[in-house]
Amino acid sequence: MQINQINPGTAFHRSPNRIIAFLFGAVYVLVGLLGFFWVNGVPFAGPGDGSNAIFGLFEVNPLHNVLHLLIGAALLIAGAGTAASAKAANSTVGALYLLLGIVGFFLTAPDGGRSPVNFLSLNVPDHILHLATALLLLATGLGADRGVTRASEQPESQQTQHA
Amino acid sequence: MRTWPGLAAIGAGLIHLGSAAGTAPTVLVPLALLGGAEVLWGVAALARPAPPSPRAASVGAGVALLLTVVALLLPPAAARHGSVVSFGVPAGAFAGAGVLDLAVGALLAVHLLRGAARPGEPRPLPFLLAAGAAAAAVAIVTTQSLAATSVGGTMQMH
Repeated sequence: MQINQINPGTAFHRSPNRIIAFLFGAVYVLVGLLGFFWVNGVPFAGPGDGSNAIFGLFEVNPLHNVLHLLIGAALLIAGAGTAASAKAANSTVGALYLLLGIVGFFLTAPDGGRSPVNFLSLNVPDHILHLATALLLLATGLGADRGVTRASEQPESQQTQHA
Repeated sequence: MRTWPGLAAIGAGLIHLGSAAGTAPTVLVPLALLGGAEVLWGVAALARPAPPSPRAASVGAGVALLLTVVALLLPPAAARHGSVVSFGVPAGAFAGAGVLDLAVGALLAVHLLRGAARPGEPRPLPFLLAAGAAAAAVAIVTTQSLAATSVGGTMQMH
């Protein structure tokens, strides 16, 4: 493939979706790794006693950390790819986090969040962070890079084949 | 700033949906419909270049705000005779939704006064800073309001 056949797509610094996917991906991977320092004695998928809060704020358990790592990795990969992949990842993860923001309230309602139903060990700061993440990812995924499609970012040789 | 009306509407919708849980059916149905409509309009506002039906939406936000103020200001005597307050809708949550509805109305008014949105893509950094600030503000108001509802009434910070 000749170099002039490659369509570089939307450059990283010109794409809000790639920037936010990469940034949030990196943060969630870091938080996922950091969280394992606070889960000593906490059940894999159950609530802790309050001592399992990262920096005393965001409660986690091992399952919560694993999900942070997976979501972070997905966003990092999408952000390192094309604007179209980052836009799709941001919209999907944003919608999932919005759902978690709503369902999370029902998980933490019984027994002040100390019931086994709270299998992600969520607390109020978690809700705020998840909802803020959902809103920012949705706003970026739906509202930015409007003209970008998967087809428009394919290499020119593939576009020619499709045509 | 083009994302702000959509984000505020989603926040208000989530509060109204959360407030509907555990209330009497006569309050539950209209609150759930209002909340659902706000969330759908918010998503549409984010996905489109300009907020959809801005005049109708601003009237809707105004009506929701008016009902919020009436519900909050009803005297206890009126509350005993079947008003919204007596059905168990939390005042704190309603206040939060009212603030967000007020923001939606004000932003739509600015949009209507300015005219058509500028074409083209926004610059990444200003877009992300503005969207991030709005998302953080809406998330804090929404979470604190939902904490005042029946589904969030027993939540603890730690």
